[in-house]
Amino acid sequence: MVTLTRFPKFLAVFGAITLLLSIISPIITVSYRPISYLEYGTYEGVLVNCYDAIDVRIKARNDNVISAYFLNSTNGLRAIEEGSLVNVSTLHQSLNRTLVFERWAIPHPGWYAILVTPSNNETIQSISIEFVQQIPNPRVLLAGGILIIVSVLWVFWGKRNAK
Amino acid sequence: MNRSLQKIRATFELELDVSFPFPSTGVIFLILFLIAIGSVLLEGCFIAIAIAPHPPGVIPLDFDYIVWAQQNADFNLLAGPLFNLILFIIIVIPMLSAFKVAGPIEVGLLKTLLTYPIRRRDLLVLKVVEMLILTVLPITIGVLMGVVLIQWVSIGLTSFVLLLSFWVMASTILSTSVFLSLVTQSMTKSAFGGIAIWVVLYLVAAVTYIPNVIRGALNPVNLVLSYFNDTPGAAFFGVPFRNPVVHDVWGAIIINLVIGIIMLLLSVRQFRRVEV
Amino acid sequence: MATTPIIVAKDITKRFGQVLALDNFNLSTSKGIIGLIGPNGAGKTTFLRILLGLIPPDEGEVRVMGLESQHDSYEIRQRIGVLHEYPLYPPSMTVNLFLERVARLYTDRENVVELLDQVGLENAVQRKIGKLSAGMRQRLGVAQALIGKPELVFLDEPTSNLDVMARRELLKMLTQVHEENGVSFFIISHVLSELERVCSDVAFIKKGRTIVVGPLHEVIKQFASSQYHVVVSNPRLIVDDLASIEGIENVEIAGVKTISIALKDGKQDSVLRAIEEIARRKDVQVYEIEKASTLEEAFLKVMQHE
Repeated sequence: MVTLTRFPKFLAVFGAITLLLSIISPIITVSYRPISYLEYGTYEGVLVNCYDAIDVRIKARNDNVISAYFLNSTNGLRAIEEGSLVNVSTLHQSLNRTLVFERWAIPHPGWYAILVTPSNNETIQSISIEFVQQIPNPRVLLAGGILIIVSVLWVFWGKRNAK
Repeated sequence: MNRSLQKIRATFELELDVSFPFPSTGVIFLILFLIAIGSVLLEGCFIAIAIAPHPPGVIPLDFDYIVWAQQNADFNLLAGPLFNLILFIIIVIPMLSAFKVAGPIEVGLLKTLLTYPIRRRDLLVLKVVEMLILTVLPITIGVLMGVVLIQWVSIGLTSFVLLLSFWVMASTILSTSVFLSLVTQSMTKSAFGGIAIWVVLYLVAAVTYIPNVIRGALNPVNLVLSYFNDTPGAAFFGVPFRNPVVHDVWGAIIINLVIGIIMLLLSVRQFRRVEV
Repeated sequence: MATTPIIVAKDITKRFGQVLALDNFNLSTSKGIIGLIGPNGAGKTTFLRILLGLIPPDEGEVRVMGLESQHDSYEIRQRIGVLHEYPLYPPSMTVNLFLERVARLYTDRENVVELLDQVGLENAVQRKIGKLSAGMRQRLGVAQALIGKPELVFLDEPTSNLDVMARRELLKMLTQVHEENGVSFFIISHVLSELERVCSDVAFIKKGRTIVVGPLHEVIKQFASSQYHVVVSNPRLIVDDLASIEGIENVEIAGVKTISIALKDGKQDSVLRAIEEIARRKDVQVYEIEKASTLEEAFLKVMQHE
């Protein structure tokens, strides 16, 4: 069947695109949160669904000094409920920095909270939180690899049968 | 039986090569796949949170939203792109039907095909199946890959119901477009007519004060989305509809499916009468 | 022994809006090579479309090989081949892929490579159909019409877009296929000289009606046996005098040096003598007096009288 000889070619192209996606997808996934007018004593941030270590870059526009915290979602929600971080534990923290540029490892895939607050008694006009999941995405990489392997095997199997 | 299957397979191979010659099949598949996966990536999967001191016992209002958003993130990550992609397929499917059904009639290619031992019914059904798989399958794979592999979000029964509603709606749009193509036998009229009809139905479902099950019959994806999010999903001059319940959802999907099947049967009947 | 008709059309009427394409059309032909001839708009292609089940007649019934053309269209198409006028084939498919695909639709089929060789496309096997010349596309059309080992093949203007040699080859092939395999052909063509070479039967159609049907040579004998061409040095000098000869039904200048005359039965000898006498008197040289019993002459005569 002629169509079947084209199918492995298509699978190979699909696999190659998937491999590319494993690199591109963490880059283009929306992962940017701007924060405006953050007062001293308040915390803002994001809840993120992480599958692996996360790269974060947090910076205030005027190089204000900030502190950043990384905790699991249970602690993050508890902090929202209580209005403070007093009774919660953090997994990682970067205190009193003008730029936070870290790779934070996670114990297991799931939801995690990134929070930021001014270190000094001031209101910070603008802070940006950027976060990028691991490049390449390991599952997408695996899927792309499997597709290419299947297409190659298909071609070899077809040639072997033709002989 | 074996001979019948061989004939259907032979018809399918010829029809596929004529309508969707390689590599255009693969290209269409990959483009739709990338659009679907792109819409998931652009949807993102994070929730903005804020923590501020507040009086003891007073829980900030947006706490409930955050909990709800986190619990529904997996569903909404799939639902959001599918909801947006409905508008996309309302344009793509009528155009595809115009090119692949009305087009061959208009240019005379159908005359060539129908002089071979091919049953008109088989030809049309195969064409419809090809178009459905070529549009909805890459979108489904793209969205699922984006949600499961990239965003690492789990899917469950709710996601499958949502995908089912998407497939049902796509197949109804397709069978309606095919019927229109066979009646008009004109690529232009069929394409623009099909898009216009479904845009109107989409707007009717979104803004008019009609029962939920009817609203859902015109756009089951929206109704499923609002059911699982426990929201009304639409408002009429600021007055929200009541939230849909489970029999609204299943009723809507079934009605939409029945409409699709009826349009397909009418299309087969119309195709038998087309003078080539 | 009476042969079973291969095509039977009874009282076929077909309208397209206000236009009456077929008007109580009747036709019955046996196996062989049948030519359908008529002026433009006579209803030939409409009749072909009805035969193939592409359109239904408004009234009447058509049977092909004993099968009803509308109800049994699928069964008929398993046993026929068709070459349409201006056929359209998928431009992005290669020649052999297209024929392979079409071949699989039939229970019994020809070998694609051998068939391509037979029609003169052996060097274009892997070429895309969109890249073929008009003549090559026509040959492809013949190939796809024969791929399913048909019993009856419909050809609508089969020699259009073919050069002189290719036309001869095609007609030779059709005759060979008919003689060796017993395949019947139903040909619609305007090139009457070609039809005259291959057809066993002909039918004339005008304004949706059959005018004449019958074996080729009988039709010619009936309508063109008394036609002659008189080739002279100066036709205009003698044409008026010829018209006054008793025994001549019709005289007209048919070319630069040719006068076409139609004789009454039994007057041949006296008329020919009179022509030579007039030519001698007028000092006009007579090069040749030849019998012009052709299908074309028969067709023209019939059409003039209708």
